[in-house]
Amino acid sequence: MNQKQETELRDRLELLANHGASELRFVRADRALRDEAPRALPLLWIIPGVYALAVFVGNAGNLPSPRLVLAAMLFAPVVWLAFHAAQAALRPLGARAPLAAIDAHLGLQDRLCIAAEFLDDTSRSSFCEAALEDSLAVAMEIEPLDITLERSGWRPGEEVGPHVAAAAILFVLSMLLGGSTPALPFGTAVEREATVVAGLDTAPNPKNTDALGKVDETPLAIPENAPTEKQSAAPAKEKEKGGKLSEETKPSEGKTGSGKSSDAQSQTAASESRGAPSGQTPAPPKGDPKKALEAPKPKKKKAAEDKPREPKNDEDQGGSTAGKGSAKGSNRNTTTSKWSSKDQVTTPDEQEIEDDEDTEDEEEEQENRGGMQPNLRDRRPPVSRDLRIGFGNQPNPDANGRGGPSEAKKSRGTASLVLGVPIPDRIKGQPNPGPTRITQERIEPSAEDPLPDVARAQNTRGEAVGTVAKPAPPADGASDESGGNLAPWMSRLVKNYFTSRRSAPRATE
Amino acid sequence: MTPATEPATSAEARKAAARFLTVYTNIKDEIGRMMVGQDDVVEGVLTALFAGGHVLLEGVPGLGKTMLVRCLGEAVELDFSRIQFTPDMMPADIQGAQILVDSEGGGHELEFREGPLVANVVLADEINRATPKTQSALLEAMQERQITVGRRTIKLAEPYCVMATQNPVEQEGTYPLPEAQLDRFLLKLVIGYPRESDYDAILERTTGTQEIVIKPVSNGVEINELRKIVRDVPVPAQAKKHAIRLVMGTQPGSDYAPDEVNEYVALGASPRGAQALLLVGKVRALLGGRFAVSTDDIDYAAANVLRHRVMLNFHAMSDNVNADKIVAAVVNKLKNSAN
Repeated sequence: MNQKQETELRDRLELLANHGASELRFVRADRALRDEAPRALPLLWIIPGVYALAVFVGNAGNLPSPRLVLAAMLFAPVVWLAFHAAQAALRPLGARAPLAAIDAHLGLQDRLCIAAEFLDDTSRSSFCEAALEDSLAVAMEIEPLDITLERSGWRPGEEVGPHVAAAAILFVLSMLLGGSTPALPFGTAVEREATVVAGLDTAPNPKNTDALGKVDETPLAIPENAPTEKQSAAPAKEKEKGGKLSEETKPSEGKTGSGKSSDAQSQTAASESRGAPSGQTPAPPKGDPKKALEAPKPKKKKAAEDKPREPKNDEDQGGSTAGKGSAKGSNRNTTTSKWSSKDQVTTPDEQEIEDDEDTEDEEEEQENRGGMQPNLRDRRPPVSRDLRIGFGNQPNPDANGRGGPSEAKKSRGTASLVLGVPIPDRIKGQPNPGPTRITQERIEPSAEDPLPDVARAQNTRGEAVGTVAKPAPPADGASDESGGNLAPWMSRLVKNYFTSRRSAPRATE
Repeated sequence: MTPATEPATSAEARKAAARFLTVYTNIKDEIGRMMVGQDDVVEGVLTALFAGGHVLLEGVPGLGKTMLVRCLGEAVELDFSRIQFTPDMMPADIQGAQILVDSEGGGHELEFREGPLVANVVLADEINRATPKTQSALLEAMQERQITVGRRTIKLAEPYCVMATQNPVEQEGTYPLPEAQLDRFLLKLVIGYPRESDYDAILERTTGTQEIVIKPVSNGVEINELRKIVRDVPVPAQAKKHAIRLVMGTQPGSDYAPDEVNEYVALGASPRGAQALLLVGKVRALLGGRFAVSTDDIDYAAANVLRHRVMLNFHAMSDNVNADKIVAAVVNKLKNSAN
């Protein structure tokens, strides 16, 4: 590749990189919107939901205005998405990221990135040159303006709808709980405030003592949504005239709550029991002191009823945990469990029951661990190969007769282990000198020439054998009759025998 | 035949690449006269041959694993030997052993007799039926390309390629290959059943009277030259980094590991995996008519290269997660993070 082609390729790559960078920023922003939408869109209904919950609980004093809630509800997701989209788009791009994106988009097998890398290489091989030429041909065919990187295809409309609907419902619900209409934040706040003030001026109704708690809840809820200065100025006045206030607010509730469902009303009633203690604390001293003293009794009784239940539950849980043997129950006091006194089981029936429960506990434990588990016996340590018979005076619990040293290792079967073929050890510094040639000497018998022996017939002896050599006489000069070492009588016996043999006729002849 | 020198100009590089493609196509066509279908497997075996690696073929019996390797040996005119692994096979049975022979003059001497491992293309049939002791006898031959028996060392002639087969279903009485040996296989190719359209040709070729003879279209010298051409293919930094991250992605706890790896993988791929990815990527680049490795080549090779280098834990087996899913998860994560 000559200099001109290199310059041409550099210019082309730069052009493609610039266009690819802008496209890549759009793609990243689009992907950020897609990724962040599941987190941002719930803000549409979470904010009014929290607001409605706050209204429901009854802490109306510190709540922001509905107008502010609505603004937060609408702007929070938008700000969230815009922030992340901008962050993704402005994130610094790598030097070759746009080219890589174009490569991936057009299926160029990294030709543009390879060209960008090899152009900077001063010592290029022939294959690098060929790759550059290949990349140049491909890059010149690409029209930068025709490149449109693939977007994520996120359609906000499909996801936004349910969230907006939920947000609207929750917002309306919060308004209803707060005793105001959804339109209030946009213009009728003053009217609602006037209604509240009118209710405060009304005298209390002493007959309506049964519904005292129920009535008190409403005026508590209203000032939450009405950030008036009078609310903080005259709280005691409101409490004193709570009964009357409720009657006056009922009509207004009827206006706004005309579309209220029965469920919503029942929820309000349920909240009264919770709101009563805080709202009615000044009320008991006002009435009969005996009633005031008697009134807390049921609560104490109820509390006394509730208290024993908790330890009982604890015992059950602890007992079940102890029975399972789960490690999770280790921090629980098993001594409180009735299962902890298993040693008191005496009857066989109870023992059987306990065994069954142990089996069930094992099955439960296996289920808790995610299914069938291997046999727990496998977790035991392997059988000891210790040759000792026992541990001190006690027998070896693991001894099963299979202990003992292992067998001799098998040979590899190579010829080097053939008996009678000694192979010298490897000598250091002489790796692989060559084949070892060892000859085994064999001793073979040499041929011997035997002496010639002519065969002849062996007949009877025809003549005297000759003089039998007598042994030499003893050195001490003993008589000849002694016959050497023989005794005299034996010498005479031998002499007589041979004499008689010689004098006797030959019977065989 | 042209000498095996590095091309000096881009024109020579193009010529070398074209020659590689021609020889590759000729061998593949010749094997295709006998083998029906299984193009991916044939390409994988040839890729390993040109990349200088070994292949582990996994498939049920009757899919033509042995025939494929035998055809390859005939088409390339290489020494071919087959070892049928059995549980009682000893290392000396495949490496060779010194035996006593009669010498001149009535004496005896030890003579080394080569085993079937000394060849160019070795088919290790049902390799997982041999004991680890015998399997380990292959380690030195596969990595060092030599065999040491006693005090004798035999250098194996190049090209040297071990193609082992194993049956994935009959695991009773088998010995799973140790990790050290699995790592020495460049590729693990999984052979599936042929397509319906292939059955007709298979039956026609195997049950008729016509005998197909594979002719040699290349030889060992040419294969060695083409291996050098493969080594000359450059790897850009982007592809190299991609291969490294792919291998690291299989290692639990690494920055590139997806959740699946952290949950299901006990042992990831080693640096040999990255080497294998680049070598296979080089062959793929030449086959694609390109002169440098791309990240797509690495991704293409990932499954065959990494599936046997990823050791799964018990949770993976219980959740029916295999190595291919793990490798696919790693590739997907790298693709997504690249943008």
